[in-house]
Amino acid sequence: MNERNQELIVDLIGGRLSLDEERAAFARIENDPDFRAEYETQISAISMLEASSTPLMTPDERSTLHAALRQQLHLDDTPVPIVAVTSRWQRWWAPLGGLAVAAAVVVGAVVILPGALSSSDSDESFEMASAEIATTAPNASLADGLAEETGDQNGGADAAAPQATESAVAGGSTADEDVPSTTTAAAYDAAEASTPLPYLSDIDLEALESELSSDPESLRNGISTPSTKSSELDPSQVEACLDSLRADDTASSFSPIATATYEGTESVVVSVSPSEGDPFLIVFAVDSCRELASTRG
Amino acid sequence: MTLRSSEDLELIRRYLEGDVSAFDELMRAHEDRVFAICLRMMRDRDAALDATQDVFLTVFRKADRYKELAAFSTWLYRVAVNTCYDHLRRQQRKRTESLPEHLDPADPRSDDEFRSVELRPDIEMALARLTPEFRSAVVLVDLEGMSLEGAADTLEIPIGTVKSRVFRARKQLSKDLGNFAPGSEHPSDES
Repeated sequence: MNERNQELIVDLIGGRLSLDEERAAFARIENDPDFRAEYETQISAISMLEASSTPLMTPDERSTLHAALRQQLHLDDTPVPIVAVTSRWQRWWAPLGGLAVAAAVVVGAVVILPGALSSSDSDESFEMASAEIATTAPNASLADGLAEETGDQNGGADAAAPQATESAVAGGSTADEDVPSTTTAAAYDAAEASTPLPYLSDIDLEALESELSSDPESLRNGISTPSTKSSELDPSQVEACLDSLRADDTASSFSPIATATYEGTESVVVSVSPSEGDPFLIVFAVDSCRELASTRG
Repeated sequence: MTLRSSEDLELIRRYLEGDVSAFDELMRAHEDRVFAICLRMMRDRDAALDATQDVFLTVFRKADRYKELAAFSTWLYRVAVNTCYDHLRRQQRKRTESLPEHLDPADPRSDDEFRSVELRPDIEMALARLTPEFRSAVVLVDLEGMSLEGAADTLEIPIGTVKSRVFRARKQLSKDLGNFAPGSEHPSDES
């Protein structure tokens, strides 16, 4: 059968012919046995195919397909945290920064504004801040703390402390959005400043580590009495030192946990979680970025 | 433009803007038909599911390149057919046997309520004997109910070629299924 007749039959079956063309085609089917045989062969095949149902996916196949696609298209991905906190050290160490900060904030508020807060108010603020900040401690920023301290110096303690308290409490409810990474320059933005790091005077590093190992809340307890604040720390200098540490050891994670005076030198205490081995503490001088002490084995 | 086409366009726009729910809606609207095309092309559920997954991966990854010159569904089914061609070529390289064993009607999976609504095994076998080009034409037109123009757009071939492939595919199917009308020419004479 030539192509023209093939097309004629396909068009006839597909309802693509005009009324006149259709009449002529049916007349030919009546009168031309070969043409009729071809037409019936086509109709027979279509009838068999049309008798079949549409194949369906099973519910399991459907859900497997959706899950695979969502994974490969990254539709369910959550934002990747900039600072990963996964080490054994940080599992017990992580809350310390937050607890200490919360304690410092409350202490500051109580000390600076005596009488402004009742005892129960203070406890409540502390508990709220502790609870909220503890969840965000791994991302707590040294720079935030230092910026707060800078605010303290510039604006006076009376203004800074309640502001910090409010930030600590209010910030907790939107922790995911509000807590900046320790690695971002934006951490120095005064507008983002929320909570200061605790200040430790005359620390004994080994004792501090030992104390923290046995009692993760000891840092909070240790600063639960009023202490003077460092007045010499330059946030950008501190962050530059941290960047230097990170550049020298990209496999480790560095988390500042406190400012300190170490053997008379203005310092920052940093917890280090190496890719291999146990975590440890280091103290570095802010003015020179020189490591003053560490508890690494 | 049909209502479905308009909805598809809107869903694509939303998906590109990051609306994940648009993904779900697009899947719901088209996954069954894409799977059906793939199953009839591939003749094997697992292979059909693999192909279906690849089809949607391609479509969603290249959604930003979709041009509104053709309906989304036309583009989608074109991707589906071409993906099946690719998978069939890969299958052919991997094995020498002409037909998979599971086409045997005794396949226990045919008891499954979802599997049992598929083609009769003899029809499936007959379809499998068609070349992929003839098979895709008859699958789109006779099994998926696509118009000849739609099939031509989807397969990116002239409508006359679609008619010719459909005609010859049906004839071959009838012959293989023992319904070859006396007097009609043998399909192999048509080449």
